[in-house]
Amino acid sequence: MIILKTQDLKYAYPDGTMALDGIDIEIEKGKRIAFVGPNGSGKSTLFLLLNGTLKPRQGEVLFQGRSIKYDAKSLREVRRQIGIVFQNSDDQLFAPTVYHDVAFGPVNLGLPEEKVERCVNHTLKYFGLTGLRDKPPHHLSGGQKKKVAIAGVFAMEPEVIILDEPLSNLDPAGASEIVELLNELKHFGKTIIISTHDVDLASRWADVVYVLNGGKVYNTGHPSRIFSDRILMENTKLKLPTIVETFREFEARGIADGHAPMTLLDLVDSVEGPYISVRCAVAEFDIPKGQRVGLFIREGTIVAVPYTQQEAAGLALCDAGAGDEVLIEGVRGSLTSGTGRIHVVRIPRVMEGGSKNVDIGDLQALVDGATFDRVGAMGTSAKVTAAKAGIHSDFEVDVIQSAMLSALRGLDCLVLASGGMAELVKQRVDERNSNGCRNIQCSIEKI
Amino acid sequence: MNNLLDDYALASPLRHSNNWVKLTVVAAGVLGGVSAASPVTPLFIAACMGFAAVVLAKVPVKFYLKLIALPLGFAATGSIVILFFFGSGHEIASIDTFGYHLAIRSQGLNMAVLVIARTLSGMCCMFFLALSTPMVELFSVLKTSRVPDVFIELSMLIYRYIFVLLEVAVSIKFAQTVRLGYKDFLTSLHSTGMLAGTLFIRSWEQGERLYITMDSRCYDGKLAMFSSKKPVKAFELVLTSLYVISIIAISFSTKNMSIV
Repeated sequence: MIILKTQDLKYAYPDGTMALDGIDIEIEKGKRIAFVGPNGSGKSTLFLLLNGTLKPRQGEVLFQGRSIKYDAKSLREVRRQIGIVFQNSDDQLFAPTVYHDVAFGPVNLGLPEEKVERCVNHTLKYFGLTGLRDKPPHHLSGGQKKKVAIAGVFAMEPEVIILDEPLSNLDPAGASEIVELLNELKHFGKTIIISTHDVDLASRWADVVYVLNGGKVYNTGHPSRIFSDRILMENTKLKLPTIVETFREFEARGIADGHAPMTLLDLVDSVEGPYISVRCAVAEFDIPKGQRVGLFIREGTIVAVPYTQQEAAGLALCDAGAGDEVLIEGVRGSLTSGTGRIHVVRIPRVMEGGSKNVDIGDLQALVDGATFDRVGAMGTSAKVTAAKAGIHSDFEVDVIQSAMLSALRGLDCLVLASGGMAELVKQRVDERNSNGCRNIQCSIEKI
Repeated sequence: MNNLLDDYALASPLRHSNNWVKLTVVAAGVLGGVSAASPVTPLFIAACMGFAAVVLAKVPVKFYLKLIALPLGFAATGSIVILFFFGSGHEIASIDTFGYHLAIRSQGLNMAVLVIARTLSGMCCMFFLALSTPMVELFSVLKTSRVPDVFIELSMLIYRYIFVLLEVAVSIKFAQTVRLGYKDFLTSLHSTGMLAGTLFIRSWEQGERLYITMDSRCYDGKLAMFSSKKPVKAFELVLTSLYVISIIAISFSTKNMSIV
């Protein structure tokens, strides 16, 4: 379903410069959209047009199929449904405390006092901001400010959340937290639109990318198409994502092939498989030339063993005695000590009671009973639960990818996931498995 | 960042006490101090407020003394003038300089001591309020006192943007300093002028952006005010009553007392 659409949108600054020159976009509900483009390409102006702050010179903005009207009443409704988080949090946080700020939207929607309080407390809890409730904004760090700003918009329950440069001026940890938060919001079925210069973020995060340049939509599509196009990137003063550049270098050396990867996981997959087709191994038994042998890694050394359905296998290039080095050609499959599994435990969401509804003893027994090499926690309630149960989590950001990467290295992973995110993990792993990559086992358990 | 009184208030354990109790304490102190005829009552009030600020509100002693020293310095200079040029009564001491006869008379001395004592008590009261009650809490007090919403909302916004603009001012000043903008008096004057001008434009822009962001968040003429419920504790009530009664008692018993 198309939730937001513009038709031939034109807007000029008071001095006559065309800021937007015929923008047509169609945004589907529940998608993650990234707008990229150089400074002055019209991203921020477009955002102000989308929520009716600016009025287009020509064309129209359609929200849920209806064109935006510019009278006070309709504008209020549009702004409730389309929330904007501005680039500079200080512009947006104008109330004296965090509580007041998050309450601003609900109060102006005319909710009664008790409802406002409930809504605000719930939002603060969901964003993990309860401890900052009575703090004034000038006592918060940049990341905390950004979180409060998002919470303030979220409290109005908008359908679409627009974030202008959400990661600018944040440290890496703060930035990953915000990215995680955006992913969680997507899970609520919210449509999320961001603008960014960070092609690495846009490539791994977005479902759809719009490239703006000179007030026009220069190109649009899936990130893997947009960000693998070197010429397109050069024309719009953007650079290729680091992952793609790495891949191009690998590709030029014959180490990797296939589509340009968008995530670290894709990159790892692209170098697995047949592309290092000749390997040097230590023979474990006498191997005649042309014999098919299995390969695996033992303490950092590749060992050639009798062939029995191993993941990686190839043909010996020469005769070799036990203990000798031998060249193996036509190596297929990946060389690991095996593939680990991913076990997902579904923790109730904050709204379902969160960590209070989890039997901590059960969880500890589960962790002690099976040996997991890595533990990940995904979502607020899962992180809280892990902390409560005294379980150290190895990854809290980019959890799904980190778990899969670990599994590919042969490590068993436990992922504690809040609510629907548990299914998301399984879904992502299954998606990967169905792409013909090395299979990773994934199971879900509810407690 | 600079340490502001409000920062101490936000961190103070008394922040969570009932605002009205604190206001009563301060009002009693100010009225008692100003209306006292002898310096004993104001000194008693100053001691109590000082104790409350340092022990109950956990303000560092050194910082508190520095804070008090500032207004006290002003009061002291004023008192010297009073000491020599006011009042009648018998002469206590005198100096002859350049043919002038400067005399300290009993009434002048009493007056000077009283002025210092009153200043001290008044400042201690105001500092107690400032160090234990952040602005945020005062907004809800204003709200319950039926001050028109417009004024409260304006002060809330002004309060918030003081800090934003302060940060801007500090960074502009720093940027000027590193480029030798304050190397001598004339350049300092010029730089300060530029700072003020830039700050004005920045606040103007900030105002415009504020308007957009408020509008984007469906501003409908309402800011949230939470009337936080802070029940009065029995201990606080007893202490406050005791304090008020002591002020009245001391005030009456020392009504006719004077130092000389």
